[in-house]
Amino acid sequence: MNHTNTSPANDAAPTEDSYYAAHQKVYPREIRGRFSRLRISAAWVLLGLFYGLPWLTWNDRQAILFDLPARQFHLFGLTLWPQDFIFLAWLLVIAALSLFFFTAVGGRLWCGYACPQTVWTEVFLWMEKVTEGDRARRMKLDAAPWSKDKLLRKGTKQFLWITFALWTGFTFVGFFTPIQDLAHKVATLGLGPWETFWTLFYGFATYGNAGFLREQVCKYMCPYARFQSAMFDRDTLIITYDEKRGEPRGSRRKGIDPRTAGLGDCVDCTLCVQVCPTGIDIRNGLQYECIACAACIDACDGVMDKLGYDRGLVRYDTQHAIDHQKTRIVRPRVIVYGTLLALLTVGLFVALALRKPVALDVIHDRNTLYRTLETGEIENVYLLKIMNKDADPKEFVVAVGALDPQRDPREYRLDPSSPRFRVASGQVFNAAVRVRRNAWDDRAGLSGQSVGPSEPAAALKFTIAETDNPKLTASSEARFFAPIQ
Amino acid sequence: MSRKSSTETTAGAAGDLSHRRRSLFTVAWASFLAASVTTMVFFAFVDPSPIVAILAPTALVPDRTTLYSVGFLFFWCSCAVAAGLTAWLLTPPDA
Repeated sequence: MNHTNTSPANDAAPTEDSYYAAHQKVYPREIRGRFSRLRISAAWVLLGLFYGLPWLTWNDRQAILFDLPARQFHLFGLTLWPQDFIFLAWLLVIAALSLFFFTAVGGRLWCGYACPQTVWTEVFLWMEKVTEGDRARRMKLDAAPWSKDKLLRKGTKQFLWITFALWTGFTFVGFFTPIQDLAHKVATLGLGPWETFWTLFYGFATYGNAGFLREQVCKYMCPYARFQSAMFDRDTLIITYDEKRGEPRGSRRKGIDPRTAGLGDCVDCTLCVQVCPTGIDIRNGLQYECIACAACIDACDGVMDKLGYDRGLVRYDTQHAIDHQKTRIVRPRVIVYGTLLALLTVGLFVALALRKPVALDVIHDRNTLYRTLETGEIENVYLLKIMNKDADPKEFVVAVGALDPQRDPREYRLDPSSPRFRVASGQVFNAAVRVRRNAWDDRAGLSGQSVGPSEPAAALKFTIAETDNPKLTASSEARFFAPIQ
Repeated sequence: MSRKSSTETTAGAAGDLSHRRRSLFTVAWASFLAASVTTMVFFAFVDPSPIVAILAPTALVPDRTTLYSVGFLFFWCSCAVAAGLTAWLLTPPDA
């Protein structure tokens, strides 16, 4: 941007720009306490799952593998195909509803404990602390001119960050490509171009989001942060400062009764502000920047303990409780979200349990619509795609008939009459079959209804049944073409 | 602002985003989100390899990883064009 412009209006931001305050780096102070222990434990569990799960094997196969090249998702014993996309969509709906449900009850629990942004920022902050020291040291180091010490500390931090980010990118790709092969390829420098690209892409995203953007992701990029307030009401658990108890704030000598000095319980030590990863002051009330990480609660509890005051000047509570009114946990929106969530979750498991391990797709031959045989029959050719999603091989027998035998009672014959196909586990078997029909009953149809000349295409239904277990069937529809007479 | 005094933050070069850079990032980010969802839904229903095989019968069909990746980058570009135009047209012409 051109800064040589002499117009002073350039510096005093024009009104259009005034929404955008220049970003100021936040140096969150680390704090120990109940909630930080909970947050760190959650981070360990979640990161452990992320970095560990791809290495888990199940039935000689990677336990969780979204095998995009093969168009199959493996989740332990379960294999999902593109035809099962409904389950993925279903799962996403459940995830969204859980977010609504937990937000309505517990506020931004997701942001504070489970969001990848929070979790990875936690790790990157820890590396920053290890290399550059605590909050005060980091601020001093950033303000200081470049020196050997600064270079060494910043360099070590970058080395840790970049290594960790690359490992993250590698693990991410390992969910989509068998990770053991991938590790072998990395070791032999034989990584494919797209594997390299996605490793670097995800690694860079981790590095940028957790190392630099941090709270800005929550403030400016996250859609959830914008709409979560819609799920809030006065019975939602929020992190809040008890203004009635805390104000008027101010420092005081140790041991004096604050009431006699006309003071509230807040000593205005600003620790709650220093620990805040988004750089807000919780004492200003509920703000959209607050990611409910509860660091301010830990900070304030520590101060209250030292002063011998009751804990909870800053605490998890509902607006109703703060206003000394009754909190209702069970309320219409919780019931609606909860019921929907329960129904959909149960439904998903039932649907997965009842899911058929076989599927059939029928495609009419692309080249020839129909063929008239010397016998006077009309023949159509179809390609059957028989899919065996089960763990065992299966043999299927094919049958065909009119989709609606009441309207179209003509006989459709397969040639050969009952073809059988053996399909290996997890395979799609392509089989070409011929279907024949007599030409002479086309004009009127056997039942005398108009299925003849005006309808050159008839609807067919193909059915496959497992030979050993005829109850296991799948069917698909196709059209049968005949000449217009 | 009273907040500034208590937060003790110092202006940092990293992430100091001007309006234009912020717009750029927002466009890239929003189109990334839209492209991710589009890619997922699109390729769940469409297997790209037979289509490429029909369109270019003589060419060697690239593996699905390549096709998906190119597809994603294509969607990202299209979404970015739409988002970029929206952001640009929403700016008053005299600004």
